[in-house]
Amino acid sequence: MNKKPVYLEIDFDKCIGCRACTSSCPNGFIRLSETGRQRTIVFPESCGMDCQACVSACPEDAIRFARAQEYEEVRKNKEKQAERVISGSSEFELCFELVVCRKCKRPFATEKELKRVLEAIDAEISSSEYAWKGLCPSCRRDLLREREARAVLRVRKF
Amino acid sequence: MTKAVYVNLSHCIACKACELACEREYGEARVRVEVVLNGAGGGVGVPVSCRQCETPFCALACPENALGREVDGLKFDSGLCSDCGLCVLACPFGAIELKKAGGGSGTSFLNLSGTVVRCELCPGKETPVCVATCPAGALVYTDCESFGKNIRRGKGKKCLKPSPAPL
Amino acid sequence: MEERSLHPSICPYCSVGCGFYIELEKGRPVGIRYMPEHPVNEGALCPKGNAALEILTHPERLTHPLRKSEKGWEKLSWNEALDTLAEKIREVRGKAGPEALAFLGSAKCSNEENYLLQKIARMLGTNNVDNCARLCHASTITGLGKTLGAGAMTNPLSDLAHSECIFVVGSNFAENHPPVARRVLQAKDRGASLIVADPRLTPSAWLSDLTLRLRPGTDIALINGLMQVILAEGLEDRVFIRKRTVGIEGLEKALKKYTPKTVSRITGVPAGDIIKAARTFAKAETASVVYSMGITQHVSGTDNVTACADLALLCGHLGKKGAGILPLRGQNNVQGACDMGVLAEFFPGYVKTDRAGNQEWLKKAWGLEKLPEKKGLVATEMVDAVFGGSLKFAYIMGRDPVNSTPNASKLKKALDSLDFLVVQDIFLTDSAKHADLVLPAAAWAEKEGSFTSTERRIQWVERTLVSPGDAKPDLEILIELANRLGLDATYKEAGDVLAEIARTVPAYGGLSKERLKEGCGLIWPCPDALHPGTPILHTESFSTPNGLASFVPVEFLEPAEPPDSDYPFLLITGRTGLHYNAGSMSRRSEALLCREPELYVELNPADAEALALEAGTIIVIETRRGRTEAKARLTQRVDRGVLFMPFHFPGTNLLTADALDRESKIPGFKGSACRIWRR
Ligand code: SF4
Ligand code: SF4
Ligand code: SF4
Ligand code: SF4
Ligand code: SF4
Repeated sequence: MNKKPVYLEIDFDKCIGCRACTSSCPNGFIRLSETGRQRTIVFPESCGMDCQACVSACPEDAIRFARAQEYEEVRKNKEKQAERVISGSSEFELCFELVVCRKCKRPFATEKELKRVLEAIDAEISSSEYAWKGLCPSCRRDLLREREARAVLRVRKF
Repeated sequence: MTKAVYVNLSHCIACKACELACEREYGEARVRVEVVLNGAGGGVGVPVSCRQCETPFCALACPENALGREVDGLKFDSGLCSDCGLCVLACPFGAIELKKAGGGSGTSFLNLSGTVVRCELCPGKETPVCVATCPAGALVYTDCESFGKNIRRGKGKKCLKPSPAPL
Repeated sequence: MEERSLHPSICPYCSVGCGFYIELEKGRPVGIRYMPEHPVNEGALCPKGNAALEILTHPERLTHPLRKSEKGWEKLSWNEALDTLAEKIREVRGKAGPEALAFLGSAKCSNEENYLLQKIARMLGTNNVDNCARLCHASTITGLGKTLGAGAMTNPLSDLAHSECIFVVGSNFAENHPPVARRVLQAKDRGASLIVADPRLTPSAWLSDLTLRLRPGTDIALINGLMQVILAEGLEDRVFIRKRTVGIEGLEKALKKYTPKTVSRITGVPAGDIIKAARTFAKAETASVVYSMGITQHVSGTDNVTACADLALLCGHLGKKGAGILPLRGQNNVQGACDMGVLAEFFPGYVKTDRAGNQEWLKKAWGLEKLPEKKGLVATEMVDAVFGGSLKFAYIMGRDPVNSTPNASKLKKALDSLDFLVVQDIFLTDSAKHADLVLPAAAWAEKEGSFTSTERRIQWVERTLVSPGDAKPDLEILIELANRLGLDATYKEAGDVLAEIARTVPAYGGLSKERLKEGCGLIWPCPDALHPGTPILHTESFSTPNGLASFVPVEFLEPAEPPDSDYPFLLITGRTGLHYNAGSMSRRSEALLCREPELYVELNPADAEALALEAGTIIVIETRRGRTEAKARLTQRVDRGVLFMPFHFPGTNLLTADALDRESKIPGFKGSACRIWRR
């Protein structure tokens, strides 16, 4: 009878940990937390709202809404990833280790996010080495500043 | 020719008026000024904002086509944006960021662009507010070519190419 | 968008007097629009101007008159408050005479308000009126007064763009008066050279073509050195000197010993640079001297200013476009407060109080039998008068002396020793906390009146919005008080007071509310209703009795408080771009405060290393007067042995020296010997 797709199935290998789903969910069912070098995204087992905002937000198509009758299949898939299910609850979580900025040492992105971004750029521009690659946005600004300032600073010596 | 905000670095006095003005208008600053020192007592203020790249890396990385290059500049469609933040990681200049929950301070009343924070050259305004407020006259709203010409006349500072050449 | 309206206004912060529009929606300020047509700032605003609106809607605004009681602050009605105040004034005056009263005007209030305040004081029989110019530019009035005859900026700021050489001494204009940097850079774009003399390598120095990094307090030696070179090389303007000045012989004699070598030894500036600077300045067709508190706030303040004037006179760099002396003043109406006679030694229009016959004109204008003749107590002398028991009552309008006066702990004691202290302000400032009665005032855009900027431009500010709670325009408060004191103030509005000012102060003679409202203000002297104003002073003759300027030689004296083995460092103070003076406004502005949140001290990395201090360490700074803690910033900006602290945070002025310049009574803020250690 119930044809509504309600079970969330996450392809853990595809997910890059970008947070699009967490900010897209109008009900805040997908939770995000960052502590130290770790980013954690917590997914509910099911969602009755059927807006599928997270599904369309995900850049990697890693989220799928399964129908009730597919529950068994979803459960089996999940069992393979038992370590990700939060014990005593039906929620499951994904943890990502964050890359730290080469300069300021603050964590700023997941390995998979960075990889995806650089691939997208490389596909268009055939240049692979960028000094800014391992830097967080704030340190990239500083790098730019230092480069731009050089000419002016050369003459400002006292 | 697309227009953008250029800075004549030899004029910037690092006062941060541009930063405050932008923050007042939009809730958070889309241009950030810091001083770079040379260790010999000299310094210079360098404002950084989106350079409206000809080949915008941010747009290349955007999975939703929310950012895209059009004839008159880089356009952002907040309806398409999913807040994935990949553009933030793609910009070589740290010129685009996701808005933090809670927003900034100031007497903000306009929010033009979803949750991605990036200089959009003050749409609807004849002169961008950062340019209008700059006390030193260091910011110029113009196209690359005439900026280069003007500056060369005023003692040959080089034009900052609006393209993310590999750093 | 329809309900939004734009209202022209003038920035409430500094003396540059930048114009902008306040954008209102349903009576609330919602935004700022720029005013490219304004002749001073061409639309530009510094960070403070951009943050100006935050003050208006700040939750800490005073909304009711407050009386201090055992239970804390007690709200009063205006009637109660003003009755109490009038009663107290009568009581003190009856018992201890008018000399026991003191009135401190505000360089943040309008000309009309300041005029009325000093009129009340003088009608009550005392010349104990003063304003904060005593702390920033009193020495400009004395120093330029005795050389040129008028203690004010000679040329408008926009003129700087037409100078071929700009000599800046003791002014960090790039941070403190950013629109000045605009003009300086416009001049540089036209090929002008910029010479900056400052002990600190400030952002202003970064723009310069030649930087003279002098030892703090050796300004006179440097300027005398420049003049010596000019005379020795015959670069002076002989025609100008012959036709328009007196006293060159005295100067020539006094300068003989200031050879580049000697001066270099005193100031630490290489002799070659002194010669280069002198030549550039003298050979320029038009050159300007720009100075600020690095010159004025010394025990030799008057002499420092005098030296600047001598330098400009020597090269004939006065009285024409692009050539003049530009003292950059502090507060938005400090020039006006002085013009209005909120000074212990001057009636309105700089008429000396103690010169025989000077009172007659004013007695007639005010319809009085008697006026106080004796020069009053200046702000810096009042503290001792309180301890001496002769001063019992003080009325402070829009000022925060606790955070702006040197040796602040002594001042706080003085405030507490008064019989009665009333403070009228927009916030409960640190000074207001010492008051018996606090009166809530309207902020700048909540009242109307005229303000005189540093370039003598008198601009009208309109009342754009209503004040929070019961807060009232200062002028209304003063009128009601005057009437309670039986002084018969019949003014209906600020325009009426301005009309009286126009009758009393000749330089303001041609002003009226209507005229001021028309454009972007008028520059005084503007003696009659058809006069267009006088942007450039001294074009034909100087404002002295015989029309000639005087050279007044000054000698370099070692600074009052040199570092010694007990106090090995020299502390200088100043401003940062993001804050303003005592900080009672700028520290309440989130946008400004988040970018510059706390007190810091600049220290040379080599000194830090010797003392094993790192960047960010909290260090204790102690002078003979007090001690303060601040976060260390290591920077080449200051030389070894020199420390710099901004004075926008409570703490700095606990340290500063209160020794006074003998002529202007300005304190020597700049230059206190101190020692430091890790907290
Ligand atoms: S500067 Fe950054 S955000 Fe702006 S267009 Fe270039 S890549 Fe995109
Ligand atoms: S955050 Fe928005 S604009 Fe940025 S890459 Fe993701 S979808 Fe595109
Ligand atoms: S152009 Fe407008 S949005 Fe862009 S940095 Fe300047 S003020 Fe901000
Ligand atoms: S407003 Fe102008 S001078 Fe000030 S920091 Fe910005 S660019 Fe530099
Ligand atoms: S320079 Fe002065 S008057 Fe102009 S905006 Fe800044 S504080 Fe206001």
